[in-house]
Amino acid sequence: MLDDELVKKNPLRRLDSQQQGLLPSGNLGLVVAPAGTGKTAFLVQLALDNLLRGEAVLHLSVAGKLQRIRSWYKELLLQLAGGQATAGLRRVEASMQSRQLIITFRKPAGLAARLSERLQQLDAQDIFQPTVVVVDGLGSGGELPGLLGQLAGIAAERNLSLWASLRQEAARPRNELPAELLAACAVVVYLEAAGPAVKLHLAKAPDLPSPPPPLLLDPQTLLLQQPPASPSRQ
Amino acid sequence: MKEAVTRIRNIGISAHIDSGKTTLTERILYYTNRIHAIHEVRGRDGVGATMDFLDLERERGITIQSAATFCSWQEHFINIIDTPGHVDFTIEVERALRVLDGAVLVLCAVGGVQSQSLTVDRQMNRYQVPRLAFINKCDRSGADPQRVVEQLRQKLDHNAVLLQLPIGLEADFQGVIDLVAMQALYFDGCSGEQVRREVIPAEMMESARQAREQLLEAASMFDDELLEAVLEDRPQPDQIQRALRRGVLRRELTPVLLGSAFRNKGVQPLLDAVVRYLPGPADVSVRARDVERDQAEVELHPDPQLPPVALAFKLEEGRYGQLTYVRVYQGVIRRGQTLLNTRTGRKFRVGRLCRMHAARMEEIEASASGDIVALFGVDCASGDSFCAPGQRLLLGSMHVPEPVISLAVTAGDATARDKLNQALGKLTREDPTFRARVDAESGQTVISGMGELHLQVYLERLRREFGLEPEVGQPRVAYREAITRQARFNYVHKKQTGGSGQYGRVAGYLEPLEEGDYLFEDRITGGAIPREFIPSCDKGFRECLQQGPLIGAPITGIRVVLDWGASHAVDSSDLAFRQAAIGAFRQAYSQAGPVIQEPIMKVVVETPAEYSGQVLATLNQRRALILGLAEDGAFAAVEAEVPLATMFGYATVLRSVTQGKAEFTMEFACYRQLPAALAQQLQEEHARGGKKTGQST
Repeated sequence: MLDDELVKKNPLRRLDSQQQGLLPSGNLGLVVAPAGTGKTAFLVQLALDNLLRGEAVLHLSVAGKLQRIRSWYKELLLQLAGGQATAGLRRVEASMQSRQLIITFRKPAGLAARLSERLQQLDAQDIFQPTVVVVDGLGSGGELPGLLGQLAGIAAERNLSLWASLRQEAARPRNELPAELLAACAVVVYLEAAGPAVKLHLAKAPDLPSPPPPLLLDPQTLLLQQPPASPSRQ
Repeated sequence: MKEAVTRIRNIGISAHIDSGKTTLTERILYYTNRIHAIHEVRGRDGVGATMDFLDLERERGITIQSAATFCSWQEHFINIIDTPGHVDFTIEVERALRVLDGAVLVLCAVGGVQSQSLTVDRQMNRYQVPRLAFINKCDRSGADPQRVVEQLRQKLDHNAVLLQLPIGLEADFQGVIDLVAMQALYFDGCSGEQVRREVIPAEMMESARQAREQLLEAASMFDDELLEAVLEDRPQPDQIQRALRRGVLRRELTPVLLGSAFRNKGVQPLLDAVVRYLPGPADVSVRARDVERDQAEVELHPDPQLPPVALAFKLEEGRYGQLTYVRVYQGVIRRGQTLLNTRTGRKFRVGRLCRMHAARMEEIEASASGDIVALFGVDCASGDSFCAPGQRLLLGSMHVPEPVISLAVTAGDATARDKLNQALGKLTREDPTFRARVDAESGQTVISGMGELHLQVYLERLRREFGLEPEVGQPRVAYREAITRQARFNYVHKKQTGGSGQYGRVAGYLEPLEEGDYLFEDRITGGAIPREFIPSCDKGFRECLQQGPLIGAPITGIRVVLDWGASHAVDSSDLAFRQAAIGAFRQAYSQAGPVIQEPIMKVVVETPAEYSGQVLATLNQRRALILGLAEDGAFAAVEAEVPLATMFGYATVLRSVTQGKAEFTMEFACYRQLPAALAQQLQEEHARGGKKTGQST
C-alpha cells in the first residue's frame, strides 16, 4: 500500500521510462540546487524509495547530524503514509532499520577516500553492504571535479547506485555547470524553486534523446504534486 | 530566614566523570566560607573533599550520591546539588533536575563535550533547565577552550557564547579576561581567594575586543535597549548583564566561563555568573495538579504568604534518622506545622528542620519560599507532594526508568537474611530505580537496577555499611513475555463433586496491546457473568501477568476482552471466577503467538578514529544494530542498538580494544523480540529449572 503511493508520486520513477531505475548500478547521479531548495528531501525520498523496495541504503552527510537526519527519514516516511502513525507503519520502519546506516563527516576533506575505507570496513566485517549510497552536502569548491570522478569510481568499483547533492550558488542560473563536472555523472537533475512548487529538470540521463519537460514537485516532500492520471510508459 | 525569593539560587552542577566538578564544588564551598581548608579530592593529605562523604566515593574518585549543600555569595543564597556523572545513576541526576531552577554544565578543557555530557545535557533539556557552562582544567596540557565552545555549538546545539577569554593556557594559565567588564582577573592568595582586577594585557586587547563583539552580538538579540547602546557604541555592563540573563532564562543562550578549580582560578566569577544569570525560584513557572478539581493545573508562586506546597525529592538514612530533602515551591515550611502528604492522604507534623551542608547540618525554624531544606522523621517516599491540609495538590512525577538488569543474592543464615532484608529496604526507599523482591519460584532475593555499575555499587554498600557479603548469582536481564496475535478463550472452572462447589465460565479473547501493559475490557451483556464477579475475572487475569508460562517472565502488552460467560446460581463465587480467568488465560496464551522480549539499549561509543573498525567489530559480535557513525576529525562516535544481555562486561572489552581511549554510554531504548534460537534456549533452561544459569548472549 505504501509502495503504490510512492510509485505514483516519486518523480524519479515517473522519469524512469525503462522502469529499471533511472540511475543504473555502478553509476553516479547528481542533484544540483541552491541552498534551501530541497536537495536533502530529494535524497531522502530517493533513499526511502529504495528502502521500501528492499535495498540497503547508506546515507552519508557532510556536516549533518545523526539525529536530524533520522528525523528527516521519520517525517518523510510518515508523510508518505498519509500522516498516520499506524502499527503497519511502525512495522515498515522496523524492517527498514537493519538496511539503513547513516554516516556523518564533519568536514569534506578526503571524502572519497574515507567513504571508500568505510565501505570496505563495513563489508569486510559483514556489518553492512549497501546497494545504494546517497551523499548529501557537497558544496562547490576547487576539488569538486576530482571528487566527483572519485565518487563515480567508487560507484563503479562496488556496483552501487551513488547519488550526490551539490549546493550551487543561487546567482548562477541552472544548466551552467561546467562540462568537466558533468562528465563523471550518468544522471544530472536540477531543482529550482518556482513559486509554490519546486521544478525538477532532468538534464542528463542514459538513453535520453532530449530533456523532458520539467516536473512540478511539492516543496515540502519533493514528491510529485499530483499523481499522473495514467502514467505512460514510453 | 526571610530572604527575598529573588536572592535564592537552586542550582545543580552536572558533568562528565572527571571533569573536576567535585573539586569545583569544594572550591565554591571554600570561597563562600563554609569549609575551612581546601582538601584535594583524592585525599593526598588524608582528608577527602567535604562533598564526597562516603568512603566509597573517595576511593573510586567518583561521586555517587547527590548531596545538597547550602552556601551564600554576595547576599544571595545558593543551594547546590552535586550530581553524579555516570549514566547508571541517572535517577540521581533526574531527581536533582526536577527540583532545580538552573545548572552549571562543567566541561573539561581537554576532553570537551564527551558522551556523558550529552546524556546530562539531554536530561537538562527534558526538564527545561537554563544553564551556564564552565570549562574547567584550563591549566592542563591540551586545554583548548575554543574547541570546547565549538563542540557546545555543534554537538549540543547550544548558542554558546564566551564571557571570558583565558590569559595563557596549560601550564601558563594565569587568569581570565572578563569581557563584560573588560578587565583582566587574577587570583591571588595561597588558595586564590583574592580576586585582583587589572587592565587587559596589551597583546590580548585585540582578541578581547573581537570576543566582546561576538558577546555583544549574541546578547543584544535579547534586549532592544542593549542593541541600541551597542549601535551607539556605549553598552553598559548592567545592560549587557540584563540581556544575558534574559537569554539564559529563555534557554536560548549559554554563557561560557573558564577556569581551573584545581589551580583556584575562575571560581569567583562563576559564582557571580550564577547569581547574575541563573534563575531564582520566581523566574521559573511551576505547576501542580489539583486532585480535588479533576487534575486541573494550578500555578504555584514562591510567596511566603501562600499555603505551602513542597516536593520530597530525596530520602536519606543518616546517623540521626531518616532525612527527607524537600523543595518548597510555595509558601514556607516551619517547625510544628501540619502538612498533608497528597499521595497517602495522611497528615503529619513537621518536626526538626535543617539546612544541609554536606555531612554537617544547621537546624532552622523555617524554610524560605523557593528554598531546599531537609526534614527529620517524616515517613514518605521519594516523589511525594506535601501541601496544606485542606488542599490536595500533586507535583508532577519524576521520570523513573524501569530497571533492566537483576541479580540473585543469597545471604548465609537467618540472621544475615534479616539483615539483608532490612538493608535492602533502606536502600530501595532511597532509590526508586533500585529494587529488591523475593522471586516466587526460586525463593531467592533478587535485586535489580539500571546497569552493572549500579548493582556493583549497591553490593559494595551492603558490604561496607551493613557488613553483608551475600552470594551473588549471574546477572540476568529483565526479559518479558508478550503475545503477537489474538486468541480466544472459552473456559469453565468446575468443581461440583458434592457439597458446595465452584463454577464459572469465561469467554473472550486476548490480543496485543500497542501502548501500555494491560487493559481489561468488560463487554459482557445480559448478565452472562453477574456484575459482582467481573472484578474477580480481572484479578485472575492480572495474576497471570506476573509470571509467563514461557520463562516465568512478566507478561506485558495485553488486552483482555471478556464478552461471554456463564454462572451457576449457587456455586459461582469470586474464587470460581478468578480461577476461571486464570485457566482461560493459560488456554489462550499459547495460541496467541507468545514471544520473549529482551531489553535493547541505545549505545553510543566514542572512540579515536583509528579504533573505529575494532569498535564496530565488538558491537557486531553483540547482535548490535548499527544505526550511525559520526566522524569528527580525530574522533568517531558509533550509535547502535544492542541487546542488554550482550553488554555485560563491555566496559572491559572496549577498554582493551581501544587502549582505554574510548568510552560509551548506554540507555534503555525498547523491548524487542528475542531471536528464535535464543528464545528456544531460554525456554529449555527454564523448563530444566536452571534459573541460575540464565544468561544468554
